Amino acid sequence: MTDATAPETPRRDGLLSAPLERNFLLQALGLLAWCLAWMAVQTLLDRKGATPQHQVTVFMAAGLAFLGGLFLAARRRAFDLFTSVPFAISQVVLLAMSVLLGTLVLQELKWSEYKSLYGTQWWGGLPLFLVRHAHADDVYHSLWFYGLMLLISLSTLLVAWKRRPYPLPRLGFLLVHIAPTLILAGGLVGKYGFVRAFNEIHQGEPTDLFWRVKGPNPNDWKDAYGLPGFRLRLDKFQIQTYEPEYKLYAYTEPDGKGGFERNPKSYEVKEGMEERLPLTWLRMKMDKVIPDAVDAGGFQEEPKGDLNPALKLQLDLGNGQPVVGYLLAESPAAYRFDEPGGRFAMMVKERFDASLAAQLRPHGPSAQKLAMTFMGKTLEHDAKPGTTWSFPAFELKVVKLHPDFPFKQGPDGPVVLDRIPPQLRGPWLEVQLHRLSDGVDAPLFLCARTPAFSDQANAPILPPGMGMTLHYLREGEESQRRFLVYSLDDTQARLVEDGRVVRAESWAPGKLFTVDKGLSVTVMESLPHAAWNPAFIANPDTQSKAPDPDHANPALQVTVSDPDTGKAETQWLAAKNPDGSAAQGTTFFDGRVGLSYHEKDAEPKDFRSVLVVEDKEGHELARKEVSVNDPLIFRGHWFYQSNYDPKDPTVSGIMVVVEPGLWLTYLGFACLIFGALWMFYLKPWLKKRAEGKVA
Amino acid sequence: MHELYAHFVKGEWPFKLTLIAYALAFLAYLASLWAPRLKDGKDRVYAAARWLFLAAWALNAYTLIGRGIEAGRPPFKTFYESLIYFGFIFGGIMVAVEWLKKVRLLGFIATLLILGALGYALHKQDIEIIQLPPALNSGWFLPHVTIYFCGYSCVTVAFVLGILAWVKPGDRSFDPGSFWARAIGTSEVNFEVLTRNWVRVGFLFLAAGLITGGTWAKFAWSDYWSWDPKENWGLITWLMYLVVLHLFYVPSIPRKVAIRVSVFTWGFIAFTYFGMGYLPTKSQSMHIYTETPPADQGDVKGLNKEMY
Ligand code: HEM
Repeated sequence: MTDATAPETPRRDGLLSAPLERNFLLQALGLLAWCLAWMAVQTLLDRKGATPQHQVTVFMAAGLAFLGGLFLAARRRAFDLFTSVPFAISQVVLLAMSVLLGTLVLQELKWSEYKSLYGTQWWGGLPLFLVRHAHADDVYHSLWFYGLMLLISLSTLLVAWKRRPYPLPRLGFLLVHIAPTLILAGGLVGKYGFVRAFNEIHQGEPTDLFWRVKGPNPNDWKDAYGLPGFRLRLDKFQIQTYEPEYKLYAYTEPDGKGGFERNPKSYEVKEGMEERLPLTWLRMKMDKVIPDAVDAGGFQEEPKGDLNPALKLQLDLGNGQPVVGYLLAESPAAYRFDEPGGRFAMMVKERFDASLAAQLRPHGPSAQKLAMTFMGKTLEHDAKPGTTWSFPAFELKVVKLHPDFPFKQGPDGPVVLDRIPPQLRGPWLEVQLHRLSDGVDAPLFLCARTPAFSDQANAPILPPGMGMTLHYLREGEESQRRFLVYSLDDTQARLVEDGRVVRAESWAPGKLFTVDKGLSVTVMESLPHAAWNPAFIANPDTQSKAPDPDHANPALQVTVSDPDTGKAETQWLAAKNPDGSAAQGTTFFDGRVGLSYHEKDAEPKDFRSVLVVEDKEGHELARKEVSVNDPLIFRGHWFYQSNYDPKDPTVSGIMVVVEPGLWLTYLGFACLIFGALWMFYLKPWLKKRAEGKVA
Repeated sequence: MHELYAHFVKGEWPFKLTLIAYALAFLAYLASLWAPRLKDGKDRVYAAARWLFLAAWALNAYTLIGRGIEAGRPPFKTFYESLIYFGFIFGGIMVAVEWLKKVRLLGFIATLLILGALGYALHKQDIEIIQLPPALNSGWFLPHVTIYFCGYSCVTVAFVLGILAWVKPGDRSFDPGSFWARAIGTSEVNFEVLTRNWVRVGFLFLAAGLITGGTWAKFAWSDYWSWDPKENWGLITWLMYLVVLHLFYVPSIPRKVAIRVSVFTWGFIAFTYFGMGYLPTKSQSMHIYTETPPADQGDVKGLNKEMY
């Protein structure tokens, strides 16, 4: 194959004396000037507020005009330059370096973000300078980058022209050198007719309305895109998950800072399994596994443990079924318990003072908010009557706060407040929706206590296909008026009503405090250093049923022992905390070993939507089960599974993409591969065969 | 050293055996470069080296396939797995070259490079076989990665040949009894032509890798190209090899310059594979190999926090 290469006697040129078509230095300077000119043009257009599409149009017109002028003025020299391989090399190297630049400077941030990112470092001046003057914040959509691609496209076309005619062996060269232009042309066509739009489709509610998004993030939506002549329906949405698998992870390399090196060894969990822990002489044994466990343990006084004051209390409701539990003074989640009947709340506090008393009375919210959820994101605004928000297709206005159930007239006559179920009582917010398309106003009522109720009532009024919900939020509200407060520093129990202490008694273990007739609390135990002592048992609720792998909480009892000393430590490890989150690990032997038991990975496997394309009369035109990698393609529209709502399985986030230049791009790809194969392998073979025939 | 030992202790056995086998093959090749022929004219050391290389590769394949079966998916989601896959593809190509052409020097260099890659894999070892997120669960995953790794392998061969062409440029004929004649198994050679041929194959695979990657992205993310740092580096590498190919056509540029540029260009491939984590823009990429199962990372933090 040596025949195709250059002759071995190179012509040597001086650095500056070489003609332009072989002079890398001059070419580099020329290309640099070309790029600088485009930077200036873009700065100018940016100042005038030209849209990206407008800029591309100006770019194509000005670029082609300039290059046309160049060829008119110096036809021979321009042709020689543009069809020379050294110039090709200069262009491609510069293009590669430009692509590289965009991987060094973070792309598409705001100027303020660049300033905080680079502004404080001594070399930060360079990126800031490039961002400001060379559009380095978006290299790949800058005019100078387009300028390089335009040159490459022109050069390859010209060299393809120059090398005419094309007998069979040389066809590969032609294909390869028209490929870049085809690929770029595909991209250019795409610049004009491109659509990317998103919507959340509700099961059984066909829509032809999508919202255009700028990037792949469906939250930065702009304006509406209507499907031409057909609409999309969701028949079914489904999340597939992997079967949960729980494993035990052993950390045996302490990092000297109280933690461990991050490379545990993982173990399958099997009762009775025993093994030496890696890099130690300690042995680990899995004593017991419970596939779905609950912790039936309790707090215990641990005199050497951390200070964690708690009281064990018994609440007698007068029904012969006392409730026993713990209140922890220092735990924000566990210092208060509201009696199920709502008659009072009890509390354990380090001390009792006037400011605490002042809070213990019913009071309204510190903030009232209107929460608007749509296109998968939630905005919260103060719910002040009179406030208005504008959207592309409608307006929302806060009308009025209602202290109680707002409707005076029910379906069967006037409303009697006392007959309204308590979950619909309490404050409501009235909002008005103004549709811009037909000017119709519709009232919306939002229930603070039971948002789900008003969601259902309002769904038909809200704009379809946006997945929109409105909620009325009240924060920092207190509705209880009676409290029993145990304070630890003075061992007093105080009954507080509407913020005033009405009765105080000292407390001691075994002593009873009567709140009301048939309603009393007994202190059973005081634990200054309360420590939880776990005792896992099989979950009685699920024992008889088949286990539900998604909600089960497996627990494992492990013993780590040291064969040298005969010492052993046994502990329980549960995979989850009571709230369902992954549990933390535990250490053995003073932090020499850490064990953690949890789910291997909780990635969903796939999201699938059965999508139907139908015409305006509802006749089915196409149907497909789309998943993350498998869109539905219909008349140039690609429908992607792109999002979902973890709370509502009847909704699926669908993205639609229209990309008109795609076939050109792929034609270019094909030319590139086949052309290169042709040049590298078919051409030598054809040549050899031709020579064989001659000989 | 202690860290490597710790990783080795925790490693899975098929992988550890593969590593040992490659190490033995490497030592055998090293010996075969200098060991004299036996009196009966047979080159037993070299024969042993070739068999060891083949055996190591078979173990590599076993490790890979076993992991694939256990995971129920193509086994190159994580960095660790991808390095084993690189060993498999590059090793496969080199075993084939070795058995067909008997170039012990290439066998020597190949086992050295694979040892390097798998040693790094030891360092990047997975704690767990993790599942694929939905976007990777695609029919394009296997062909895309396979084609790319063929490309990486071919340009790596070209890199090695390029260094040889740098040292021994032009048409060469070696003394039949000399070190070089034995090392390459023949006395007539032109490393420059060989380098260029392997760059061409690699270039084609890299192009096909870009295109299959784009097609996959079109189906998964709706864009065949999204200027992601990893994609960009794939493009940069491909463009640089395009430059190398064109350099051979410039009469005013000596061939040795083209060869040297081709050697340096391999650095771009290496960076695309190993260097993505060092890019300032890495947080803007979706395509960087997973190194530790994310579910686990969270928990290590929990464990650490608990003890402070
Ligand atoms: C920018 C202007 C370009 C010019 C002036 C140019 C020119 C040439 C020339 C003269 C050859 C030698 C063909 C022969 O004599 O057989 C060649 C080879 C080649 N060109 Fe270009 N080219 C350019 C850009 C490109 C681009 C952008 C691509 C990528 C798609 C490309 C791909 C190739 C390939 C694959 C070869 C074959 C290399 C080989 O045989 O090893 N060229 N080019």
